[in-house]
Amino acid sequence: MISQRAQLTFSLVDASDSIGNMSLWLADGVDLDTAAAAAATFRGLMAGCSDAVFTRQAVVYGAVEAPRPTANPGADGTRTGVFIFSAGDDQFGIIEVPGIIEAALVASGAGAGLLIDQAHPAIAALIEQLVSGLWCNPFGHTLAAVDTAYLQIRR
Amino acid sequence: MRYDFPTDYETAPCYLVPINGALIPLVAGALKPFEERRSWNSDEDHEKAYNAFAALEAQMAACTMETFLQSNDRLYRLLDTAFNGRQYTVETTDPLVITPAIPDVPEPLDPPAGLVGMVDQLPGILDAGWFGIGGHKATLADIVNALRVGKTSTAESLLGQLNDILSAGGNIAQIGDLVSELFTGSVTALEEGGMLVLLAGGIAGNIAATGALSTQLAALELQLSRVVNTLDGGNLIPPTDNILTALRGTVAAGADRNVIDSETTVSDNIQTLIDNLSNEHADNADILAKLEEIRTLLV
Repeated sequence: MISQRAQLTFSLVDASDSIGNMSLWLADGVDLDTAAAAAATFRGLMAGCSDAVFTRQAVVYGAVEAPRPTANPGADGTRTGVFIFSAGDDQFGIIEVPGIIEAALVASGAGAGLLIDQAHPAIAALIEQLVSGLWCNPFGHTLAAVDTAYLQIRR
Repeated sequence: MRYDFPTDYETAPCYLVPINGALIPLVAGALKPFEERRSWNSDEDHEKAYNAFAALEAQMAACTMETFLQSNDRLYRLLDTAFNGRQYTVETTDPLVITPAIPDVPEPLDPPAGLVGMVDQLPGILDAGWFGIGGHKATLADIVNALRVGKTSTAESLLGQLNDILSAGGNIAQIGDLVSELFTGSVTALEEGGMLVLLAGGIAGNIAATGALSTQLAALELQLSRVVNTLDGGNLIPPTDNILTALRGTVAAGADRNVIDSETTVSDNIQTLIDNLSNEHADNADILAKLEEIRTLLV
């Protein structure tokens, strides 16, 4: 795994509601706090340079496998394992696993071929990690327990 | 296209929509755009939508129709075991096979078991032969027959006595005889199902006894009236000629005077009484002698 250079992206919207993006790369060793402060400075500079207005920014610390690996035979990224977690009162979290392994699906009885076997060792380990308190839904509510997990076709 | 999240989400009813299991991955997967911020007009709409669609997706795989059907089968087996006493056995768990299979039409067990068997045994057996073999279950008709008088002659005799009593032609002794006859013959009457007659006789006896009691009360009331008349004339306004007047004389009783505390008046009255009695019995020397003794002692 090779870490990519941190990238700062600004999104600006024009009069036709179209989005334009501007990307910058941060020098080596710049941490998130420094990147955020630099982004604030840059947004002020952009305001005097563009008629489009700032609407979104993203700081991405990417990493890639190199060379690009070859997928397992038959792997289908659209066959997605969807794990739905409860995350407090009326809060849920959805975690997707593209190309879920066939062995993780319940083989017989009710829900065969659809439900994900939560007792499968790999699945159980994944669920245990997701409810460890480190992960949350888009609204900041920590994932607490898995409600259900099953196969969906997602693109 | 961006949406506003429905404002009536919390109050709108839910619909049960059957979806073929093979389509669940596609239908649920097609909901993904609704989880994303770009589909909604505001962050608030996005948060509500994200959680609403997550809950919807969770429910889509939570309960299959097969689960529903198995639940129905479990209910059938529960009721069948409770009512009919049928025993089910799990032959295999994967796939789940339970025997006996649920029939299209319920088949009663012979002999009955379970609650049906318990109810079946409640009436008991009548006219069973040796060792309890044979006979028939007691029916409602058997119970009705058991409450009737077994012998026609007995029924006619009792009915005649009841008629006499109810028509006021009988007397207390006749009522007593009837009740006594009913009770002393109770063993036979029970064997012949005479409880109904026993009850009817008791009721008739109560009616007749109440009539006799009423007569006695009327006689007692008459006697009391005679006593009251003797004491004060029996009127609301006391008459001038009665025992109290004779005892007290013409002076009425007051707060500081008893009716007979006037020595003079009492003495005069006794004197008058003895004189009257002496006149009435002037030809009887013994009575006159006794009257004189009384006069000497009291006057």
